[in-house]
Amino acid sequence: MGKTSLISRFVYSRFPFSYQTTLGVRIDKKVVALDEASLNMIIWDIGGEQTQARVPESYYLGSSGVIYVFDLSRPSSFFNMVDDINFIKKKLPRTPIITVGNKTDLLDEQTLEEVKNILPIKADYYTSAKTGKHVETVFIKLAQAMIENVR
Amino acid sequence: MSVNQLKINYLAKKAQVVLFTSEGGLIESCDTLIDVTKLTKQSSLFEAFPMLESLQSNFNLLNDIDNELYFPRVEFSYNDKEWVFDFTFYKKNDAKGVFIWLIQDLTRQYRYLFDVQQERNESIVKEELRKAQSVPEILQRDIEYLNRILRLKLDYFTKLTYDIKNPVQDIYSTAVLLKEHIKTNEGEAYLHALSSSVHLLNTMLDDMLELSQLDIAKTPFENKLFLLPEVLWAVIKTYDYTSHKQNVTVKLNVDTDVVQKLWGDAIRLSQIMYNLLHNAFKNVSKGGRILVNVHLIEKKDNEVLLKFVVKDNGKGMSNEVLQKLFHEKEQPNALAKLNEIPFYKNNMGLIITRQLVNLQKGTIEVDNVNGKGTQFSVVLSFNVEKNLKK
Repeated sequence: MGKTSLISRFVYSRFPFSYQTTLGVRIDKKVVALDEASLNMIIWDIGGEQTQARVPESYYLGSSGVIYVFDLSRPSSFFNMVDDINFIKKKLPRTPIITVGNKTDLLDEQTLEEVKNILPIKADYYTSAKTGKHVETVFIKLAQAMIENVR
Repeated sequence: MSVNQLKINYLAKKAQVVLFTSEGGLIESCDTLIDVTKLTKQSSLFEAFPMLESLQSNFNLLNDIDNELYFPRVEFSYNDKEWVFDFTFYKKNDAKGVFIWLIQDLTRQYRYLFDVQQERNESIVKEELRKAQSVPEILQRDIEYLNRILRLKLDYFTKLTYDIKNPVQDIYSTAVLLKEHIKTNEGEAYLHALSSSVHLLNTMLDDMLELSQLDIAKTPFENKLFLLPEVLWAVIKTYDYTSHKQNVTVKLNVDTDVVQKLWGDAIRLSQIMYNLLHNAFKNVSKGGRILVNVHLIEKKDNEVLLKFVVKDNGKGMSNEVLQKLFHEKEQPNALAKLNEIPFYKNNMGLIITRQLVNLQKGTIEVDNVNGKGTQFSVVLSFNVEKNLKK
């Protein structure tokens, strides 16, 4: 899906060219400066599982926001989208969730539009960790939604 | 050393215990795996370990030793090495507000799992990519297969109709001839009924041929070996009766330098010639003449350019019709409106002919003199059989 790459792009401004599976969880941190406040964002990069039900319960603890990432170039990565989102909403009610279709760099404009049409749920953002397209926006929007949520 | 002692010694190297307060203050750490003491010299435990910081509100929810927080497979970069730990947090029973952080090093065990998972994910991605890339190929193959079946069906249908048409015409002409020889009223009545039925059947066959042509025009072209004179002769034979009835002479002339064995779409060529002849018979008067000539225009390597001429000495065609047929742009919806527009219905054969010629990248021209006749010239290219001797 490119979750680790998205985080690497956001936190370290770099794109890892080799693919490495995330087995469990990897934690990163970045202070996000917003207009009204700055936010200490601790990002839990959770390994992709066939379904969210396989993710250990404890990984959800203390979550204030969720970025759900799928791979636009692999339909199998968004087949479970509706079930996954419903599962997360059940686990973390009232927590903002942002859906992200990643790897736009692998699709031409026409194919991207075709893929958008077959998505079970419209994604909030279409990103490319490789080029950095919309990556910053995703995290900033989530930060704003999280602050809004606790007000 | 006892077995238990050996066990403790072994496991001690693989585990670390850290005691901390709910505010993130370090109380004690054995530092077997991570030098927590050093990392927290300048900051609190929560600042040094973001994971613990994000969990701080949950520690106070821990009550006793059975109530633990367990985090399997925590990937951790430390001292230029990638570690995989299991973290377990629980409350220290004998001290208020003190928590235990148990770190277990399972890097070696998880490394195997990591490799398996990595291989699995990579093969899934490769397989999906392979499938996605092969979709157009599979579709293309299916389309070709379906077209072949459609083509076979249509060819069969067309050939069958041609085959039925000839004997039907023979029956009709025999009935007409018999009518001249039978003088009884009863016999004449029977023959009249017979010729009417055959005439109706003949008209239906014409309609079927036109319909099959419409379908064939939509299917892909074939490249098969055929004998040119045979194809042309078969087409002319279908007009035997008409020529007899109208007293029209049909003459076929294939120039001697024209290669007779050709590679191409014989059915398409038949359709073109059939339609041009049909048009000529429509225009020619009783006692008229239709000439079918084939000339060689060019021959190079494996390809010949042939010119097919169908010339009649009939009344000629109206300029309006010719203008519509050959000078207006293709009208994609024209065929669909056959039943609504009499023009297209009356000239469907020529519309299909133009379409077929264009699809083969050929040319079609018409010379028309009112009152003197019409000449259609179609130029098409064909492949020649290798090492062919004329």
